[in-house]
Amino acid sequence: MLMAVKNNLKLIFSYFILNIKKEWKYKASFFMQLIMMIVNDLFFIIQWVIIFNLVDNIGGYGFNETMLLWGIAAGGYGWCHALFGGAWNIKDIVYDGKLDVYLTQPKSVLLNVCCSSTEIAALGDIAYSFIVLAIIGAPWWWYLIMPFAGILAGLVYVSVYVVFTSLCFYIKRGDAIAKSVEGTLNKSGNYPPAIYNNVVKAIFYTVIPVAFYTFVPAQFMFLTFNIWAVLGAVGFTALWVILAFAMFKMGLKKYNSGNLMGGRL
Amino acid sequence: MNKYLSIYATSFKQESKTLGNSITSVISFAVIIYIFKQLWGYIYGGGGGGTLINGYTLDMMIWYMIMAEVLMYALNGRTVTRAFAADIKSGKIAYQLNKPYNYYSYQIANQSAGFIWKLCFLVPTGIAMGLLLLGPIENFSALYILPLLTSLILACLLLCIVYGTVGLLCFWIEEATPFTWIVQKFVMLFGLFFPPEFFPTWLQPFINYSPIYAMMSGPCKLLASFSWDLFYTVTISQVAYIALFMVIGLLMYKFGTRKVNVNGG
Repeated sequence: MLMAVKNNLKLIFSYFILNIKKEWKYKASFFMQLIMMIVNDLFFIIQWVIIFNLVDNIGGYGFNETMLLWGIAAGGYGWCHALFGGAWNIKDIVYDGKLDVYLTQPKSVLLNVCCSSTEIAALGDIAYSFIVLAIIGAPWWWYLIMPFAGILAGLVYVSVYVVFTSLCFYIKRGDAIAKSVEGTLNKSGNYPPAIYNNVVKAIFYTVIPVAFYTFVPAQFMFLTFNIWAVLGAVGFTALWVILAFAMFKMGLKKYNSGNLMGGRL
Repeated sequence: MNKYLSIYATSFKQESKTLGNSITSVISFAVIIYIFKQLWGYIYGGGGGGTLINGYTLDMMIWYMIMAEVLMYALNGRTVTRAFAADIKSGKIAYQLNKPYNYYSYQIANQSAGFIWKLCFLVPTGIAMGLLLLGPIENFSALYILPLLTSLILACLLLCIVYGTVGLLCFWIEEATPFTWIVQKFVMLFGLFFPPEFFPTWLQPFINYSPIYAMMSGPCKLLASFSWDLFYTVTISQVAYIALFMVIGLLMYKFGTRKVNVNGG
């Protein structure tokens, strides 16, 4: 079991390095995407400066706490698009019957598909998650926790997307549902949890796990550290990852090959 | 002009095949309206300036946001830019150069079909969300519907032309998408998140005379509190900016095509 985890981590890392090397060929584009994404993210700070000029806090979340949410969300988005960017190609691969090339490989099909692509701009998001910490004057140990929080959030994000996009195996345009869920996850996680009522919060702790994307990591990893809540978040994330693998595997049985000849270099 | 109308009609027919996608995509739109309602409800109810903030009641603010989100969802800047970028970078544009139409105008007609189709879903959803969350707009008259729709369509057209112009940058640079992010963020920050009155007094004239006012703040203010004077002002600015950006786009296209290398094959 541990050996399998180690091998898969090695595979993820190797894919990441290969993808980066591929993108590195276009250096100007590489740096432009990275820098522009940071600038793009920085714009949102102005939004919150204006809002917190109107109110002191929103349900106990002031400027710093809200920025922390944005940092974790950016980190989560960044890590999953950097390491598992290929997940967003599942729709095209399934509908075009292009999965054959992955099926013949010895490693997990889902992992192969997910790791096959890296979005360079996502590295800008990862960098931004640390810039946010600098802006809010975070203590040194927050910088050490941020990659862990980001990867955990990223795993939730990509798992949720894979679970819903696996519907593509069963129905036409199944990705539309996945995109809606992704949109909800992406947008709702950036706002202080106090603005949501209990019904919405119940949804955010279960079906669309916005809470485990940003709220729980922010509250229990950074603001008021609680090891049990952190372990709970890790367990919940693991459940979503398992669910993603299970949904994809089930869907795979419905896959129709396009009989395309292809290869991966 | 007829040929562009035919292009528009063909693209519209094509768009109408994506009914399922269009219906599910409004879910995310409804979620963001709900988030803004909750956020601003908290700000207004939390003693952050009473019931009137910078001349806006909570209802006016949310109707402003609804119009802004309709515009954002109707026209995805990245999609427009990528349509141009894909043709230019792949060399497909070479096939379009000898056609009896101007490629830039062709793409604008093509993309317009997309936003008109989306408006068919977004506008009813936006109205339904507004009525559900806030009730009817105070002092609203049926006479305002046509001017509001005109302003909405002109704003979408302007957004499309502006993002198209950004897409044409691909003639000179490898990747234009990052510039789209920045334009989008300017539009969001100075148009979507807040009406111009929320910014410092010295900044307001810059916003009011900028394209952002024509493509975002103006139409949104019209829905929040309609007046015929405002309608004329907004329409004039929209027409002027459409003409200006169309000329810029056509000139960029003219100079850009000189940089195209056709290798045959």
